[in-house]
Amino acid sequence: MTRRPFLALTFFLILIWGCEEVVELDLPFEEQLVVESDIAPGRRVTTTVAFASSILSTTPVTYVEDAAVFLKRVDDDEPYHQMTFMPSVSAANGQQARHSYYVLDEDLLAIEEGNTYELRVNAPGFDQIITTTRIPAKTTLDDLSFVSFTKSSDERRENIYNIKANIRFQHTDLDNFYHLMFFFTYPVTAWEINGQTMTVDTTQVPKVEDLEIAAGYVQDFQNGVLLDGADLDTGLVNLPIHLSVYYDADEEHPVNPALGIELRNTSEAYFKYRLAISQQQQQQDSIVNQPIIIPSNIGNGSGSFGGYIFDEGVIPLGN
Amino acid sequence: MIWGKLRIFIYAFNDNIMRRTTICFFLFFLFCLTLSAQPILDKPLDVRFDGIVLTEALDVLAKQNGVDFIYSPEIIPEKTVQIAEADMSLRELLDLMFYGTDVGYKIIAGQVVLFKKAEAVQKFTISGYVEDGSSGELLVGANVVVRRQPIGTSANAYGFFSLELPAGTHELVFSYSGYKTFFKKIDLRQNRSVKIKMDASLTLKEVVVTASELKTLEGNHNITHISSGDLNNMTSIGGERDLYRHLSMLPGVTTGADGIGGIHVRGGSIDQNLFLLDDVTIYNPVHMIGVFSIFNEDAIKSVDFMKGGFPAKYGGRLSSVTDIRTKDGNLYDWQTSIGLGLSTLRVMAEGPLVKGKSAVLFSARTTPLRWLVRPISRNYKAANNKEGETILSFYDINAKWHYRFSDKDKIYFSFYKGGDRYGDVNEVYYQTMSEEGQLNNRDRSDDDIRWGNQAGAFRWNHDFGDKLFMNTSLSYSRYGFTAQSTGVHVDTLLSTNSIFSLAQQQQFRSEIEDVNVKTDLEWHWSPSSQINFGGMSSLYYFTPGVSSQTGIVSFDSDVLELDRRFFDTIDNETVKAKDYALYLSHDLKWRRFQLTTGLRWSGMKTANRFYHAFLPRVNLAYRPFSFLQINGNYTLSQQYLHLLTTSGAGLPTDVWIPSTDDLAPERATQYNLGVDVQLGEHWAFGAEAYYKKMDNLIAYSENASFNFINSENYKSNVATGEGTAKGIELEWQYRSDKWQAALHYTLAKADRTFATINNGNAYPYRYDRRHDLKLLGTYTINDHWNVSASFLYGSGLAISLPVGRYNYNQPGSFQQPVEVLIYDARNSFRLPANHRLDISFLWKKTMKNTVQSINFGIYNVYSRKNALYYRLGRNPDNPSEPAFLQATLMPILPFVDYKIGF
Repeated sequence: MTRRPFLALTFFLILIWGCEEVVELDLPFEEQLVVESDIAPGRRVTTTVAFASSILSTTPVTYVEDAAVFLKRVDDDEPYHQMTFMPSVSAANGQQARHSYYVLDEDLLAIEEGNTYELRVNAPGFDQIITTTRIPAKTTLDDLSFVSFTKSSDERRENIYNIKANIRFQHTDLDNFYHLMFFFTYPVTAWEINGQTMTVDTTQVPKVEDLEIAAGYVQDFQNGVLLDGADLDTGLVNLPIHLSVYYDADEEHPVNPALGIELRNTSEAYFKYRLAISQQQQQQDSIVNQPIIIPSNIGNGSGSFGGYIFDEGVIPLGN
Repeated sequence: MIWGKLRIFIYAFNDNIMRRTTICFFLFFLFCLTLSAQPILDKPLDVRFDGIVLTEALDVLAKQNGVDFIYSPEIIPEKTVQIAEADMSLRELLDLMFYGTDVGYKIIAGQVVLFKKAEAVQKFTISGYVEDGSSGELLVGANVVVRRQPIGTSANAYGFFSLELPAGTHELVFSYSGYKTFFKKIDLRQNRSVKIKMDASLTLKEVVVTASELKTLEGNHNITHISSGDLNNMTSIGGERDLYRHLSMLPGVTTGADGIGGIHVRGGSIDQNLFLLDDVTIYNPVHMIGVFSIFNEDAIKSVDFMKGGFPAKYGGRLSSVTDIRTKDGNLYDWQTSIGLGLSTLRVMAEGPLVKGKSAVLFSARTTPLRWLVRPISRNYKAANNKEGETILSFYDINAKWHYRFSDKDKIYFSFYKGGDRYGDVNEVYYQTMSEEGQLNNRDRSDDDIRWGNQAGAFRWNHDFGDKLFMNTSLSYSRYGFTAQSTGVHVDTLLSTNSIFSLAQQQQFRSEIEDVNVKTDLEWHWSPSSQINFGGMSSLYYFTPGVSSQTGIVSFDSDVLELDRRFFDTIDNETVKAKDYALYLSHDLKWRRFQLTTGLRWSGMKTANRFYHAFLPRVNLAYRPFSFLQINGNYTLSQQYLHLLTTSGAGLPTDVWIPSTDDLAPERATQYNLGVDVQLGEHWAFGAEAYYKKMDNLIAYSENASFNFINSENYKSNVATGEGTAKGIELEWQYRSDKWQAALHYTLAKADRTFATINNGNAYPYRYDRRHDLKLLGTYTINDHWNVSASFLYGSGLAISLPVGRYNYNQPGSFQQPVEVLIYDARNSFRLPANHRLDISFLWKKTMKNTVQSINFGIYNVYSRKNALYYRLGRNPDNPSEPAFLQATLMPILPFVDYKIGF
C-alpha cells in the first residue's frame, strides 16, 4: 500500500543517478524537551521526559532525571499528584534495559472515562510545560470471530502463520479515533516441577497484512492500525483482518495460541501524534513528498500527552 | 473666426438677385484662388502629433507651419490624432487627420476651409483570413492595421479578421512575426472578403514592426503571443526549443532547477495552469517531470500565454492559460522534415490532399535516450552482478486534417497522443542454505510505469457574413497513469530438485477523461467594438486511484503466468462530474481607452450540490501618449478540478479529483496594474504589479489518514486553505534588425494558509522565488547564422528540513524505539539561488529544395550545480554520521541538433 511514494522515488533516482553530494548546512536548533505520556483507565500512568537532539548530532538520546512531573484531574478540585522518578536500568544483571521515566502511584489518582487530566512538567532550565487530555467514551468490541489460522503455503519458509479473523464494533460518532492493537500469545513450555508442567506466555505483535475496509487506514509504526472515525460510516463496523505471525509450533507439546485484540478509543492528540509518526516512518526515504510535521500538544516542546480508553478480547486460534 | 465673419457678410445681402450675383462672383473668385491652392496642399510639413485632439492639432499646424484654417468648431469631431512621421504633405496630413470622419477640406484664397460633408460617411466591412503565402497556413494573431491610423485588429485564433472602415481607399498593413510586412490598397465601396497571403522572411531575423504607425492600442499586457518564429529564436536544451522553457523565461513564471517541477505562474499551483492544444485540455503537459513539454515545436503554429486578465472565454483554471495552436498542414506542397538531436528525434510531414482545399499534417517525436539508457543500464547492472535493464522514453504524435469547403466554412480534425515510460528490470541469481539443503534462487523485479495524454478534437469554423465568426468544437481528452510492479521468486532445492515459485503483482492506476463541446462566437461590430460570446459543457470521468495486487504460488513450475485480467475485475469506481459555462464579453475602443468587460458564468454539478458563479472580468487600457500605455484589470476565476499532489512538482503520480459536496471549487481574485513604455524605435519597458488571492485551495491534510488515494477516502483527507501571491514584474526589451534582447525581473511573494497545516500559520509556497531575473539575447550575424544566450537567476525555493530528532520509546514496551524527526515551520528554509547561462548557435541554409539547420551550444556553461533538493541521509565517507545531501541534475551539457526539411 505504500507503493506510490516508492514509484516516485525510483523514478527520480534514475534522473539524479550519482548526483548527490554532502552539503554543510547551519540549521538553527533550540534545545527542547520531549514529553511522552499516554493515560488510560486501568493502565499505569508513565511519563518520559527527554531532550531532543540536533538533527546532525551523533550523541545518544538523553533523558531528564531531575524533572518534577505532576498529574491532576481537571474536572474537580483534585490537587496535583507528583509522579515518582524511575531510574534507567542497564541491560546488565540479566535485566532488560530501559530508560528512565516517571510513574504515578495508582492509589493517588483514578483515571476515568470522560474526565480531563492535566500534566505539568518542571525541568530545570526549561519553561514549565502544562498540557491536558481527555479520556473519551469507550467503544466496546461487539464480536470477535475466528476464521482461520494456517501455516504459510511454503513449508520451507520460516514458520509464518496466517491469521484471519473478524472484528465487529459499533461506531457511533464520526469524531471517534480508533487504535487497534493485536497480540499473538502462546504458552511456551518452560520447566517441570513435581511432574507438573509450568509454562510462560510469549507474546509478539503480528504483522498486519490487510484490512478489508473501503475507507483508508494506516498501519502504525508498532504494527497497530489507526482508523479515523470520519472515514467510517456510523453503525456496525465489520472488520475482516488478515495478520501473519512467526510461530514455531512444538508438535510434541501442542499449545493453544490466541490472538489478543485491543480496541482503543483515543483522544485526537493521541491519534494524530501516532498517525504522523507512522506517516513519517513510511515516507522517510521519499524525496518528493512534503515532510510530515509531528503535531504536539506539548507547549514549548515535542511529544504527546494522550488519553485513551480500551476494550479487549481474545480469540483462541484453533483448538 | 474668419469663416464666421464671411458668413455674416454674405447674409447681409437680402436681395435675391443681388445675392445670387454676388455669390456667383464670390465663388468664381474662390475658384480662381483654388487654382493656386495646389502648392499649399503639397507643401511638406514637419509635424508630430502625440495623441492630441484635432482642434489642438489644427492650432499647432497654424502656429508652427503658418497654415490658415477656416472652420466652424462644431464640425470638428472629438478625435485624437497621433502622427510621428515628419516630412508629410499637408494633403497627406489632412487625409490622416480626418480619416473616417465626415469633414472635408478645400483651399480657398490660400486658406484651408474645413466643411461638413453633405452625406454621412458610409461604412463597410473588410474581413478574411491571413495566411502563409506558400503553405496556406492561417496566421494566428497577425496584425491588420490601416496605414498611419490607430485603427486595426488582429487575426483570431483561426486566422480570421474583420474590420469595419469608411467607404474609400485604404491602405492596410499586415504584419506577423517572421513574415515580410504586407501592404494592400483597398477601395472599399461594399463589404469585402479577402485572403491575404504573407511571405515568410528569408532571413533568420524576425521581422519586427517598429514603426509607430503600425501601433494600435494593445488591449492586455498579460497576454503574450508566441509564434513559431519566436520559438525558433530561443536557446534550447539538448537542441530542443521547448515551449515550456520559453514560458519559464517570462516574468512571473517560476520553475524548479532545470525545469523540474513544472511552471508556477504568479504564485499559483501547477494545476492552476490551463493548457489547451487545439481547444483540448491537456492534463499533464510535460515529459520527464518537466524537462520537456509534450508540445512538439515542429507542430506548433502559435501560442497565447496569459497570466492574468483572462478573457471571459477562458475559464476553469486560476493562474494561467496557454492556448496552443498546431499547424494546419501545407495546402499547396508536400513538405517533410527530419530532426535529430541528443534529446529528441523528430519527423514531420505535411501536404495537400486536395490542393488549396485540404491538407494533412503528421509529426512524431521520441527521445534517442531510449536507445542509450538500455545498454548503459545493462552494463551497469552487470557490473553489480545483476541482469536487467532500465527503460526511459517518451514520444509524441500529432496529426491534423482540415478541409476548406469555402472561405466561410472549414473543418478540422486534430489528434495527439503522447506518453512517458519508465521501466526497471532486475534479475539476480544466488544460493542459500535451508534446513533441507542448498537452494538455487532467482529473484526478478519488474517495475513498469507509464503515463500519457490523448486528445482529439473536431472543429468547425464558420463565417456568418463579414462580421460574425463561429468556432464549434467537440473534443476528448484523457490522461492516465499506470504503475505496475511484478516480483517473482523461484527457488530449487538441489537435493530433491523440487521447485517453489511465487509471483506477485501490484498495480496503481489513476485516470481522468473528459468530453467537451463548445462554441465561441466573435461579432466584429465595428473597428471599435467587438462582442465575444459562447458556451461550453464538459463531462468528466475521474478514477482518482486504484491500487490492487494479485499473486500466484506454484510448487512444481517456475513458469508463472499471472492472470492480468484480474486487474480488469477490480471495482474501479469512476466519479462523474459535469461542468458548464456561458460567457459574454465586449471589447470597446474609445479615443485613448480600450475597455474589455466580460462575464462568465460557470457551474459544476456534484452529487448533491450545484456550484456555480458569475465571474466578472474587466480590463482597461489607457494610452495618454503614443509611447505610453497604462493597463489595469480585474479577474475572478473558479476552478472545479483539483490536483492532489504530495510534492507540488507535477509528478505523474498526482491525481486529479473533482469538487465534491464537501470540497468547494477553488477561486481566485486577481488585480493587475501595469505600464508599457515604447522608448524610441528599439526600446520598450514594461512594469506590472499583481495581487492574487486564492481560496479553497486543497492539499493533503498534514495527518491524512490513508496511505493511498482512492475514490472513497480522498474526500475526507484533504484540507482546504487559502493563498496569496503578489509581486512586481519588470521587463525591458530591445529590438533591432540584428539584435533582440530582453531582461525580465520579478519580485514576488507567495504563501499558503491551511488550518490543519503548519499549525494554521501562513507558510511560503514551495515555488516562491523572491527574486527572479532572466536575461535573453539573440544576435543575427548574417542570413545564415545567429547566436543566442540566456542567463537566469532565481533566489532559492522554499523547503522544509528537519532540525532535530528524538526517540519515541514507551516505558515497558518491548518494541524498538522509533526515531522521530522534528521539523521547523513548513517551508522555512531556502535552497541556494539557482542560476545558469546557456549559449546556442543556429546555422540555417535554404537551398533550392531543402532547408537545413544546425543548432548547437552549451547548456549551463559554467556548470553551476543547481540544487534540485536537499535530503537527510548519511555521509558517504562516514555512514554513521547523518548529513544533508544535495542533488543536482544537469551540469554543463553540450548539445547539437540537426534538422533538414525538403
